[in-house]
Amino acid sequence: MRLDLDHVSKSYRSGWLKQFGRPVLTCVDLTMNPGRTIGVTGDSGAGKTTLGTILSGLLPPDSGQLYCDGTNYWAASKNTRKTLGRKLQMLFQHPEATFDPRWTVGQSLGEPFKFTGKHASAEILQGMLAQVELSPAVLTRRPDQLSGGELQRVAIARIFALQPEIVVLDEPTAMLDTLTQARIMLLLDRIQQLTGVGYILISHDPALVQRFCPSVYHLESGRLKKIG
Amino acid sequence: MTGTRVMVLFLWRKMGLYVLTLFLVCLLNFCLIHLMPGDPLVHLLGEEGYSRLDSRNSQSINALRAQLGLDRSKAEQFVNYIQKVVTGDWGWSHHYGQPVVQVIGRHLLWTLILLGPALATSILGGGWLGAWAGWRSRRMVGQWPAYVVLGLYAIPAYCMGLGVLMATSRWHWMPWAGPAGSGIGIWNHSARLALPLSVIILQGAAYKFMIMRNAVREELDAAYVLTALSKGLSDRQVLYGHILRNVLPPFIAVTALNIGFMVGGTLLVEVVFAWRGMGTLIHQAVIARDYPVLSGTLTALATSVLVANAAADVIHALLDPRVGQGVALE
Amino acid sequence: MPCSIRASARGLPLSKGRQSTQCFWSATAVTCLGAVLLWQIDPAPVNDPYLAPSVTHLLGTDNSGRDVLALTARATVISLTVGLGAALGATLIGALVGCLAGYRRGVIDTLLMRLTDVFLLVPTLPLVLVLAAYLGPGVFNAGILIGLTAWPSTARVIRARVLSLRDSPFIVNARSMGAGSSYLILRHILPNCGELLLAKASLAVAAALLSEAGISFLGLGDPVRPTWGNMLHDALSGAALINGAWWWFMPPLACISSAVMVFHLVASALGRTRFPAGIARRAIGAHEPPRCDPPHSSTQQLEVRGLTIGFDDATRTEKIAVDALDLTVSHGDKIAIIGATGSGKSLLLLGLLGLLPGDAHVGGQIRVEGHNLNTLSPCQWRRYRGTTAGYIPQGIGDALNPLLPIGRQVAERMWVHLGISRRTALATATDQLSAMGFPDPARLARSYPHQLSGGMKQRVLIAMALAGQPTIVLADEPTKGLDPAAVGKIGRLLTALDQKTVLAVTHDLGFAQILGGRVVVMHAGRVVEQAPADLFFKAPLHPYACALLAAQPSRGMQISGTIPENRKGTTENGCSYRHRCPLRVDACRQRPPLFLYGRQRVRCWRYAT
Repeated sequence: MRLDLDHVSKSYRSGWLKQFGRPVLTCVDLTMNPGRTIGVTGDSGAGKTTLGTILSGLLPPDSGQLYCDGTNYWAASKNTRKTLGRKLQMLFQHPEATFDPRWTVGQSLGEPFKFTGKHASAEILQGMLAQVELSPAVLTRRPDQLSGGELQRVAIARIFALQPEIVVLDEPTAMLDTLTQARIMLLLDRIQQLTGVGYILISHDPALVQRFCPSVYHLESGRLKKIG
Repeated sequence: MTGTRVMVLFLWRKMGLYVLTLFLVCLLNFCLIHLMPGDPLVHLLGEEGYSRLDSRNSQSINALRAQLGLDRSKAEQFVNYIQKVVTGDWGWSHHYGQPVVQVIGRHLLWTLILLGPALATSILGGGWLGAWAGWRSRRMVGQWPAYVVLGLYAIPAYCMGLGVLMATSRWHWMPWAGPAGSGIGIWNHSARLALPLSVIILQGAAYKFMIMRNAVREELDAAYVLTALSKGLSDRQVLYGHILRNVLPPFIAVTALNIGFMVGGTLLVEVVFAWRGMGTLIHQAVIARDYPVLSGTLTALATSVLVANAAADVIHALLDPRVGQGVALE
Repeated sequence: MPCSIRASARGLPLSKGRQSTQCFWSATAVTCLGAVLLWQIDPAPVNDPYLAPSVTHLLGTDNSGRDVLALTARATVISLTVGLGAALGATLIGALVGCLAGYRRGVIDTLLMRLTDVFLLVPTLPLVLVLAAYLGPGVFNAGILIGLTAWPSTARVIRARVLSLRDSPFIVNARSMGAGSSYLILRHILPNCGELLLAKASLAVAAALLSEAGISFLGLGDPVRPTWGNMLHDALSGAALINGAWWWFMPPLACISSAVMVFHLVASALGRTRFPAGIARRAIGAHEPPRCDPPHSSTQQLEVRGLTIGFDDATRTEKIAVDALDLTVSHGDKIAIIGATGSGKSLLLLGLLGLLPGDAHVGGQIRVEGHNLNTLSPCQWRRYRGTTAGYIPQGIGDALNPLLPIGRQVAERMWVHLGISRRTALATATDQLSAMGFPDPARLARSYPHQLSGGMKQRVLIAMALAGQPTIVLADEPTKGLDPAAVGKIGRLLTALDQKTVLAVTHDLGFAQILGGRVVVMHAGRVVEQAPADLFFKAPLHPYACALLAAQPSRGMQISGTIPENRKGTTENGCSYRHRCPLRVDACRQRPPLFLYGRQRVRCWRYAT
């Protein structure tokens, strides 16, 4: 899928009368071709997560358009948005918050299937876990019984159950230690080679972005600049 | 926007809420008197008064109706009513034979004599003790005060009063019951004040104790507590200088919400001890079906609670710098 | 963060949802059964008024000769029914309002919240009394009125919870998968409010019981059916006081009080979400007998010998987080302690400060400038923390008190320990802040933490630590969550502290390289390698250290070996890394000592001498 951002702006209003307006993104343009990996760097608080949320179709911009394969996302009908939205997924920074704390891993993994009409049998779930190198015993555990690295793997498994075409990686390894970070990134790399999915890697670690992204953008004061 | 301006705006918004509340209370009163089944004139005059007037001649009834404006449209009547409330004409009490404002004013004073000191003492005493209990609460020894205090809180103030009255009914030398308006001398008044006041304070302090204890207990895990301890500060310095600073704003907010409850409790205590405050007033008005007085008491009590809440808001705004910065607290 | 270390060191809490739901249903069954049984007792009038308790009438009789026990039994059923019914209604309305307001936001939210605020402000009892006076007495009227006035506090709490849930990643995730609003509310949001709802419902029952008793006490209750409040009212107007008939008062009084207490206890049991962990911070060796050691030379600034820190996990087995650690530090050393989460490095720092959690088991000895920390009194400990040691907490989160200005927090140490006046302290603090590279220190000193970015907060924390003129600076993950520019700044600030010893705990290898000095690698609570920084980053020795360095993005991100299983703390005797080590041999079943290898020390049999 090809993704285009055209003159997108977003600001956050706060205060009792919404009198404080903080512009987060100003006239951002971005083009992403299918199957590529692009990196987005920037200082903390610069708005990288906001950009990521807009790119995954979860947050409407104040002005500007998001085009998926030429279709204007926010101008399309609700059904079209739903179908397109499934192809755009996001991997979050805090893996422990990505799961309903009352559901087991098995239930959370099976959730995407409810929306596609397919049935998630035990074999399918175990297969998904095997893809991310986790044992089937994990299916009966709850999120608070797993480590950050394991949770992030389950999150990856769940996202790829929907066969997305673009995944926004929002600082996926910021909360993980060096070894686990390496393993998760290599797993994502392998999946990309298998499925041809496109990645948008958001990170404040320039070395990480250098290693994985052929083209890099930098977000500063609300403006996006291509630097690599 | 500067800090003070935002704070003023915050308080202004709160005042708007209070005015809205008072308006709705007046609306409720109006609806009750005028929209309840039956002739509003009966509600205003009382059954006895109405039948007395009716037996004379029907012309004076019609004249009275016109005088009270009961023959105009509901909207007009409501505007009239609001005007009267604002200017202090809250109607006539047929049971007491006086303007409602006078009746209420007399009784409200006695209630405030109970409520004011009770609020202050329970907040200071309960809060301070609760803070210490919260600080020590993580050790094994620190658990039992919470249960004792919960037991105290669970007994409503008026039940406590009844129990105490029961227990001390043999001690005739103590003037427990008896109208607070009669009797002379400071000793008499103070003695009669002592029991109901203690009972209300005990219950109120128990509640504040629990709130403060839980709040402090939750804060003990906060990162800034570790930072403060790592600076070599003593227990007292950490508790008063850091933890209490953070706990006071929400504590005041919760206490402000509790004022309405304390008012209710005070009313019941007054009935038990035959204290001539709003409690006995409501009690007698209910028996006599004196609706103007009832409506008036609701308005008066609601106003008192709102004034107290406004004071709490000012204190909250002063204590919490985030209010002045426009940072959303919700 | 010490709390999370504590929780993860001891194993993880089980889901409370299932437990509380089961308790709820069994309690309901018991209550219904009890009510049916109690209803069978019939309080018919007997001809002996004001009888004191006796064998035939266990609680005596009232002024019309009815048995008080029978009255109380029946009153219990009615009062509880009214209370539970009113609370149920109030909770349902409150949950609905709270959900709608929190989920929809916007105009609906504002309107509903204003309505809630209005209801919360009007005093409940007078309102209900006035309404009851108009609507007429009756127990069900009372119940309805109470239900209609008790929903606001539930609404408010539920709204807050829904607001926070609405934006959490798992809800956002479900939405991106195609979930609709009703699915989200029914399957995710409401179940996660379950315990909260039950707790509030419990409190609502207590409040409803109190309200009903209050209304009945004033005579607006049901004229026919007995309730607790009615009994009190009858007792008061039936001259029980004068006749000394305490047995008429006490049962309803006791019932009201115990019911309220029970429901409050239930609510607090449901609401408790954390382990009641000990905050009473313990100093090292406070309860251990002193070890007999030969006197040490005092050229070393810090000497740690055999430091062991352990916790009991949920199954009561002891998990060792720091395992017989030895460390020697000279004046002016800069040491980077590297390790993954769970390696015990943060606990090491807390141990050096004597601020370990109260439930930690501690052993070993620490000497600072020759003084044994085991022997310090609490007053000396405080002095040590304030002046000798300077602890820099993690900047992420609330390490700075959100309600105090920055200047005061930096200066506090000075006026408490250095005996100078507040004014001088504040001035010195401003100088410290300027030394940290802040362009406008005076304005910063008046600001509050929420106005600062992560990097700024970290530098303020460094200034705070340096304020007491410490000789040892203990930094806990000083670069967590910071971008590279800020990391560089922090690194340079710490390297510039010439006279001071710096012990920085970090998982950021780039920062460790900037700091220079010495590197200490910890794994599962043990030191596995110690080396000068330049040597270490060129050629690490221990397989774990090699894997760490190879896994860095800047070095190509190579990994080998199997996926590690999550294991926090260890109770093992062998080498802690042997399960993942690609080079393991049989000898690794024995715990290796720390071998000397040139200028490096490494805990691996490969380097045995």
